[in-house]
Amino acid sequence: MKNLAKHLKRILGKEKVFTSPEDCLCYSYDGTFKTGVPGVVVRPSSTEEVAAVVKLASRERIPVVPRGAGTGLSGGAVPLEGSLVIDLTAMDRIVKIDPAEMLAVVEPGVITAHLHKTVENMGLFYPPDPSSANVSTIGGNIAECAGGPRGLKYGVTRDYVLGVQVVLASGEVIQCGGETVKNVCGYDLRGLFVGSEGTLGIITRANLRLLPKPQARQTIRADFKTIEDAAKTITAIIGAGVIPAALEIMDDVTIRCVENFLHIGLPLDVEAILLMEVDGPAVSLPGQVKTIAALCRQHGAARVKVAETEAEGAELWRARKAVSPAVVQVKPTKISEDATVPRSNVPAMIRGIKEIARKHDLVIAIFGHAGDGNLHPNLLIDKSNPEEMERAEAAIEEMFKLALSLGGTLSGEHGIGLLKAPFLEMEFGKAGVAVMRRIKETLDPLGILNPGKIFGGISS
Amino acid sequence: MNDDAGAAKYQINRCSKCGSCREVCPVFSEMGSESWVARARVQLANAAIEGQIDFSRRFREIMESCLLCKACVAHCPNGVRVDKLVLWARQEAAHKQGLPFIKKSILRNVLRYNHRLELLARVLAAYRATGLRLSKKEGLLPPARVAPFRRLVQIKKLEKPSLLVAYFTGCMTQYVYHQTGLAVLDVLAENNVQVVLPEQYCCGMPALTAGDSQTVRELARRNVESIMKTGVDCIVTDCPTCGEMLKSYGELLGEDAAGDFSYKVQDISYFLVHTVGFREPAGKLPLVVTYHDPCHLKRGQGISSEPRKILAAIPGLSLKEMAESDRCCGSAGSFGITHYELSMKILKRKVENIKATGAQAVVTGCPSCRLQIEYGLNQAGIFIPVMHTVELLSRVYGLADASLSLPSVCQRQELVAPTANN
Repeated sequence: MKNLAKHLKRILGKEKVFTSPEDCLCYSYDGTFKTGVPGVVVRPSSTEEVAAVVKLASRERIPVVPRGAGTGLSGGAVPLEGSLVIDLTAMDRIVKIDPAEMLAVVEPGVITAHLHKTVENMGLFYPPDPSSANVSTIGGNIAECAGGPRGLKYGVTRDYVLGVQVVLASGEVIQCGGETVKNVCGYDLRGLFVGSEGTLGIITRANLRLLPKPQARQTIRADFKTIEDAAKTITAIIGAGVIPAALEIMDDVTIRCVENFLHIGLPLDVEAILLMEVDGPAVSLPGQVKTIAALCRQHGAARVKVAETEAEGAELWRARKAVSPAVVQVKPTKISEDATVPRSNVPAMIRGIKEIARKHDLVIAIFGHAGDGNLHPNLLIDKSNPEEMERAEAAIEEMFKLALSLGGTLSGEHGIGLLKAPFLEMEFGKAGVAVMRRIKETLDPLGILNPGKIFGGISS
Repeated sequence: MNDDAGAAKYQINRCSKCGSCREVCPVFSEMGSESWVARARVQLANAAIEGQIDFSRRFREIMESCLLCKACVAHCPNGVRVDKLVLWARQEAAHKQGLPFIKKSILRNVLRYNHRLELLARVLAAYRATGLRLSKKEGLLPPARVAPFRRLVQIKKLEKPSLLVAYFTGCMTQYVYHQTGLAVLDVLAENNVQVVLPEQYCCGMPALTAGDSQTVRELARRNVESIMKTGVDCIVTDCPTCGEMLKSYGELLGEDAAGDFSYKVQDISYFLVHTVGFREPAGKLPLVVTYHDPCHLKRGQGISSEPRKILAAIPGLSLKEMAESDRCCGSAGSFGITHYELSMKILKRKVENIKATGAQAVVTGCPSCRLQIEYGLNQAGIFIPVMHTVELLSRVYGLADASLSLPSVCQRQELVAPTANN
């Protein structure tokens, strides 16, 4: 390891290489409860430097773990013990924004919210909005294919990546995709690298597709006595041809947590609150709002509130934004899952999760992006209680099975990482996983790129 | 695990490692690597408790690089008290490995004795008078006065005062910014509040942040004993750092008297707005100012609307808010000296935010921030005055119905020693 550090310092200069146990410990975690202390950390500032580091790692057979802001929720950036972490946050330049091409070219360390702000100031729009956007990086977003509330209308990170520059395990640099929306040249390698969690290569630059910034937006809140009524409303709204920019749900447990935390007069006698935001040309809003409000009432909403101003809208969103701090008041550890089902199965999923919570005597707050079926059941536990942790793990496995039985997937937007690796076969079967493995082995024959992620098999 | 480690563990367990602190930590935004962010400090503290790492030099370096500005605490979705964890870590490190010699000498042999502090200030003043500059960092050393404030002033006796308060002057007013002290006395007299200046000692913050819990407790005890004897209604201070420290004596010492003491402590702006309901000035001050929120006032004591209310009450004055008015200026006590380069980078952003307002003067409620911001503006060639909130109010009181011009507001007042020391 000492020798490796010496080589790395020669390549990068000593201020970009960290070897002390203290610094390595600071790179041992992400947004999950998993940890693994790396042997060395580097902060390269160019594609050439990344390539040189990977080449060296390949020669020395040292596992490499790429990392952005370390906010992931599946353990994708949690290092294998003794590995080499490549912190890509020093590569944080927005290379160019081209309004004529509706294109942004960025380095992987650009903070998502920084990109949002920059393009919005130019009348443009980059839709993916993971809740960690204020700190997460575009590189991390691409590697985990991050989503967010706007996923329902605008899709996820994958839908905005036109091209990527990738450093391969060998240290070679390739360009996948390009700058145009239309591109059918050979296999879609760009698509392969999006969501590959650093197991196939390291993304060092991305071409992102931009949209025109929506002119206006408006928020509506509706309270429902039963989950079924709320769920029927969701399908009815989308069936009516209105696609909200966000359609979020909070269940009764979540509502109670938030009300105890904020005291803003949320109803405690309802099973679900739906928060919806529509956007688009200003003239289109009244029509969208009217349709949504009418459908909510038709489906038995106990209350419908339409925000007339931006400030009223922000006030309605305050409850949803406070969910994370509110739920940890109950128990210190929250495990946020993101199993996703077709939207018409949202009520069955919620009922099923509640049954699982009862069975394992756990508190599970359910909220999330109901419009696209991407729920976030949050298990509220105390990680220092091993017995409770065991029950939580059993509950998580049952939730995954439930999601799959309802035609869904293990992960809507967090990725597989370490946490869901044991369940991959449940979704794809042996043959499906074998195909993925063959791809992995082709691109990373030495198995040095983020080992243990997606496929598991290596304890960290 | 002792009680302190247990309390630390409680905070650590609340950290979900979400990384939100990466958005707001001023040190991290300059340094860039994860080791310098609040989340990392929490995990390092945990690793130290669990015996995974030592209280090593690197550990101390990382813990000592925290400004204790509480930006992360205010921003944290789970409200993790990172500041308390950092203080705990420093205290443990000091306990296990001892304090560095110079630090220890100052904390143990100077801070506890007022006459030695006075001597130090006099040496500093004499050195500065020579015009010698051995290092550029010296610009951040306070321009100390030859004689301390409390020795120089005489307090007016009011006929029928509405309240009796003890004025806790703080080291910066005592040895550097006499004009702030005079303003506090003026403003309190104007509002019919009788002031006393009991014997007092350093509030203890420099010792607390260095991890010297023994000295903190010693100073706290002395202050409680000396000031509680006076039977005052309130203890008023113009220094947010002192204010925050004094307010924590109750918790620190766990004694009733200390609790009563802490309960009486109020920042001057809070006291003026809430306790006396200050008299609105009649004089006019046509001036555009911007206000910097000191960390220990806004996040330390929850006071940010009060100074603005005072500014709003000054006829003619307009407040032009700067961006990130509550972002740390990088001063953080001796941090500016011990981490000069880093402190200057953090200060640069503050200066740019001030510059963008085009304000004619900067107002703040903290003498340390003032010193830092004065230095930063000077370095950037922006020659506008920086004042304590209470100084502005005092000047406007002084000129009923008359207009004040900018130069007369920022005159440096010199105190002349009275014939008999009080």
